[in-house]
Amino acid sequence: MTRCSRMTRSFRLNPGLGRLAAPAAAFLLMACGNPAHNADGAPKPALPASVDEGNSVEIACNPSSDVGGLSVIVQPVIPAVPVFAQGTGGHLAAAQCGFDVFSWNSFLALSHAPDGSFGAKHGDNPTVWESWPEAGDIFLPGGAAPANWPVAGTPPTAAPPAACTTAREPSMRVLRQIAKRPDVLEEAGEPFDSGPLIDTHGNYARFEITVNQDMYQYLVTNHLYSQAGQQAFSDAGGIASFPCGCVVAKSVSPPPDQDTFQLVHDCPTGTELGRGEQGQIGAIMVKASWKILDTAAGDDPASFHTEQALVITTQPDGTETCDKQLVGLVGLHIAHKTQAAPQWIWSTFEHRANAPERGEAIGDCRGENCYNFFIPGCEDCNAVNIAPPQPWNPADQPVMADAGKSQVMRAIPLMDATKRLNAAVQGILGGTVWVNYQLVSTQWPTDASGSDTTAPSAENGWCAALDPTDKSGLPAPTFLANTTLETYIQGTVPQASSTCINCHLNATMTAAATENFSDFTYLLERAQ
Amino acid sequence: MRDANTTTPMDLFIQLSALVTGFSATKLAPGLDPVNLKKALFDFAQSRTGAVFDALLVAFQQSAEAEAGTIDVSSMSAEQRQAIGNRVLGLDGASQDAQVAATAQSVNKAWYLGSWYQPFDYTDGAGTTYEAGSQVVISSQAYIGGLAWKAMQSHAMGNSTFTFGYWASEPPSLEAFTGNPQPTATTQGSTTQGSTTQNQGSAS
Repeated sequence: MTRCSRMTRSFRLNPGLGRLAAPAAAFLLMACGNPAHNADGAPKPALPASVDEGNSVEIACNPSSDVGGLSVIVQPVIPAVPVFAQGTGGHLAAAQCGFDVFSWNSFLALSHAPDGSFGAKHGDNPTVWESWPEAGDIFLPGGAAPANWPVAGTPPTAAPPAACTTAREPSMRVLRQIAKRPDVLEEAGEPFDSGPLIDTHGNYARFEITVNQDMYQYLVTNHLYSQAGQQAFSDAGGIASFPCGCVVAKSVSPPPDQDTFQLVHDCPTGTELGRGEQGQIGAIMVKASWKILDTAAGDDPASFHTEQALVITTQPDGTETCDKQLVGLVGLHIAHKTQAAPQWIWSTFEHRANAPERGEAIGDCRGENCYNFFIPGCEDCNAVNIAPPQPWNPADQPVMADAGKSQVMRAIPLMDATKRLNAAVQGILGGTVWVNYQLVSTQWPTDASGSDTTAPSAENGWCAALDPTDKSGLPAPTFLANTTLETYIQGTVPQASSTCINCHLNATMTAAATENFSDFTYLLERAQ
Repeated sequence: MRDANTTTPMDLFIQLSALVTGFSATKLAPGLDPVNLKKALFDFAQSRTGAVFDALLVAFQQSAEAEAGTIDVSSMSAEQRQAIGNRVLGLDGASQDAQVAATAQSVNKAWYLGSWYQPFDYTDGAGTTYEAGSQVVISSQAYIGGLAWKAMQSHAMGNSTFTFGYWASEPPSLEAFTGNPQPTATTQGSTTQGSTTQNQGSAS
């Protein structure tokens, strides 16, 4: 634990690491225990204006034992890999619990401010993931090369869109997408399958994707930001393989249990990008959904993580308008590629007032301010979980008719264990906006590699192999959806309902690269 | 494998299934099993055959212990598997109950095809009658997980778990799909594990 504590102290006393380098450097603590004290028992130095920093809650992932629990900790430490309670090998629920704890620790770390503070601005704060480059910062017009992102430097951002006459202030979001997939953005006036998400006040939800430094530099180094680069990469025999999070065995606490879902192979250490003494963090991508906050209509910004954003809307004539608006976070995917989960680990969170669960009792609340995307008692609303009728024209909002809004219910209830975990973690988040967010679930591969025992190495990003007979790795849970990001494809119908891994297994590069597999990300399709 | 004192009906079902399908028990019942197809098939077979299903499990256990001293198929010799398989499937000319044997064959088909082929007329406790020869797809997951696709070293139609463009490459080995070594020799009436399934499958 000494090394862990020293790393913590070093990080916290060294704010000069830079607003993005700090969390990346601090991931190395991920496998350590209670962070409330250093090895000598002395309290850790408090972060400036932090709220709940260092608080933790013990989660009993092994119900048959009162030892070996896992901790969810309020700290700016991005975990590189999940850890698991001892003696839980072969137990699906216990493994799920370990992944869910990983999800919460990831969410809390990424929800810290780049300077390491948490909830310092009236319970809210800008976040680490918002400081990462957005897809539009990477896949530039004409396939232009984005800038490098130095190890301890500031992440590159593209110039503000021409439509935005308002100066882009630092960290101000630029939100373009009105659906998760980019074709929706670019063909907003054309028919498409999924459909927009329109809140109870008639405003279109907005979406964005950001990537961490490991993923960004892999894209840049291999020139995958352009079609020409992808073609050259493929012609040279390249197979997209983003780096995996991993740790060296001696740093894993609790120690690896051969019976648990936890592989510990070789893992690089050092001072290069994303690495430290205990391993590397690996590629992470974050997808966020935002709701326009209409305070006049009754939205309460105090219950959301909020940002001032430049919201771009395509007009019927093809031009764009850009409006500065207050937006609230309503959904968040965190996808993290790790050594034992080369299919990535997919964590998804939501604002807890998004929508009711199908079948649960609706309380007495009526009207547009009970949920973000559901109007209880509405008689003329659209059918539940069916896209609003066309035409979809984000230039004409707010949508006034209830029938033109999304009427959303959660199709798959949260697991009871997840509800208990959420309640436990929310219990240490009081006084911050983050108490209003909940984990929906975590999807992970139960058999990542099958019979392929290829050892992780530098050549494959320090990742285990994909099972050659089932590259999805038999994910658990089988289906998973966020009501704001997979609104209209919730359910349990194979090939029709949302499942992160099985869907992203179909992701490819552009036709220029003969549509080769793109390692579970659709981002590469955006290259020009 | 549990010891004899703690063997459950599901243990017997998995080992019986491994025997008749030629797939390893770990492929049929992974340690971490989010789909839990084994339970779906177990429950379905039991609901459509009642006491005969229970008798099948007992018949398998007795045959396995008499022939090999264990129900663990992975520790049996090829000859032992063949003999036990022939017994439970009613292919050895012995006095195996015809309904039990037919149920064993339906279990084999259920694993391979994801469909239930009713082995004999049966009326359940609710008074519903299932006629011999009737057929029903057990579930979408049973269809997707059908072993026929794996034996083809392929995937269910409309549900690929390979990456785009996989068709341009050699498929993984049959061994990778079955979890068992591929046959090293095949002679009529005596085979190593793997081809046992094919012989039995064609017989059923």
